Amino acid sequence: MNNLTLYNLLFMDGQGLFVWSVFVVLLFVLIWNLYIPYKKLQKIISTDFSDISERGKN
Amino acid sequence: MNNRSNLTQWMLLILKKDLLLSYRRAATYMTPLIFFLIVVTLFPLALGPDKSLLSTLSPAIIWVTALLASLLAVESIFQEDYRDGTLDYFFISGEPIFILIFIKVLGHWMVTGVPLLIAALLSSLILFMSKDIIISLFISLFLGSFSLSLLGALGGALSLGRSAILSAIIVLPLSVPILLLGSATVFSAINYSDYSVYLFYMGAILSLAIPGLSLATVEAIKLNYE
Amino acid sequence: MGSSPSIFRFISTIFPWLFFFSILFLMGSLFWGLFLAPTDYKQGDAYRIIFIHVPSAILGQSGYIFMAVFGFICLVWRVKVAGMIVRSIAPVGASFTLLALVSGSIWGKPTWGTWWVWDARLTSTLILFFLYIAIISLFSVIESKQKADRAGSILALVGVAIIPIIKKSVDWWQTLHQSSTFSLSSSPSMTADMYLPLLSCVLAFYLIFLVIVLSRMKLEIVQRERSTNWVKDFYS
Repeated sequence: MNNLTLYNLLFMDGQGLFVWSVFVVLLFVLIWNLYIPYKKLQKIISTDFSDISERGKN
Repeated sequence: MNNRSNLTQWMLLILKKDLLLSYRRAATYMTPLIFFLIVVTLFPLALGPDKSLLSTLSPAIIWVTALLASLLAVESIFQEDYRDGTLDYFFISGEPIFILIFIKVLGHWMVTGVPLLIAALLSSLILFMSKDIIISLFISLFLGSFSLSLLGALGGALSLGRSAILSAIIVLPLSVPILLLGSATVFSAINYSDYSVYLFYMGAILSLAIPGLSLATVEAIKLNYE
Repeated sequence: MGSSPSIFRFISTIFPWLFFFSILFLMGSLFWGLFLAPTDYKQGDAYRIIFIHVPSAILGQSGYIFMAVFGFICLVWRVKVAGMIVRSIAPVGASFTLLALVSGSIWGKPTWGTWWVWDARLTSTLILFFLYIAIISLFSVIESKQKADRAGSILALVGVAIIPIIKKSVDWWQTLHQSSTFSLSSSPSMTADMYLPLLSCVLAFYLIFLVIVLSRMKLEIVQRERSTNWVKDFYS
């Protein structure tokens, strides 16, 4: 019984595939948009501000 | 009074210079024209010589090709004047600069837009367009090509000194209303329905575009002088 | 007020809180919409895509309006930060518009039986996406950041003036050709138990939009001021 409701919730009469694929696209867009600025910022921090004494060498 | 005559002098000077330059160098007005005719010829080659199919598609073919041909000319609007310093004189002339820019675009339209009108009339014969609707094609292209020139001026100013493909990316989405209304005019002329409403809207767009896009173009050109 | 260091510190302070709050809010709203809201009697469960599709379409459009507003501020008052905001919004708005297009087309398959129709709304959303692409490519091509900011602002302003014309002309185009048999514009009235989760999702999307834009602004400020002392002090 409990299993069946969960199945129904996810499967949604065969339309679940469409709903969940949209959900996956949403997740992808959000993660991409949040990750890219974070990654670029970390890169700048690690190259420019990591160690003041190192910077004089380049 | 003196000030006004000074402005008129400037306007006449710019027009005269642009027309004379393109008269001396045929490439400026011939390139879009030849491009237009070649592309229009490609459509029957791709679609086949079916007369009814070609005449149904002819408004779309002519309008899309006109859009592309006007894009081709975009690059040349400000490029030369920017390089040789003519634009600098616009800025130090003390005249309202957006009027000067507008005259510049007007001159550009006269050497690229007007030949396109003639080419469109020629190609309407190739594509078996019926004679009744040629007048609607002509008026819609007349209004539309000037709006396209104004848009192209903005694209050319924003991408000054950069690749032409950038100005195409800028101009093409913005020119959608002109394309839709222009081909809608011709399609409703084919269906014998009243097309004047589309022409009115094209005229409205043009009258909004003249001040609005001239100002935006001035702002875009100013970016290169900082 | 309005200077880069104070704005940067402000963003850095509120960012973690805002980030977690908006993620939680989004998860809650989506749970409400995807599981708790009742099934539509006509469309079945596929209608649940609305809880992602409509908010992203709204964000795609209002993102462009935000861009034009800050572009105006950037052009008229020469506020540097406004230019950074325009630059930060452009890719976010573009991705939400793309999300609206993709989710709409996935929604179209079970309801209309086709991935794409040349409906007025779909067409104008597609053109909106192209307008975003134009602004993004302008930003990426012009090397000088401040110049690029102002060029993008000009394009955003011109675009926002032309968008109503595009919408109107696409509507005419639609009535002229009359190929599609349905219309999206006459939306059926929703009951409160569907409407409230939708509203909640829209709010959550606005929050997440704000979070992404703030993180991009943070990056933008650090990129431009990486040689100043206050940035060095902040990270050492």
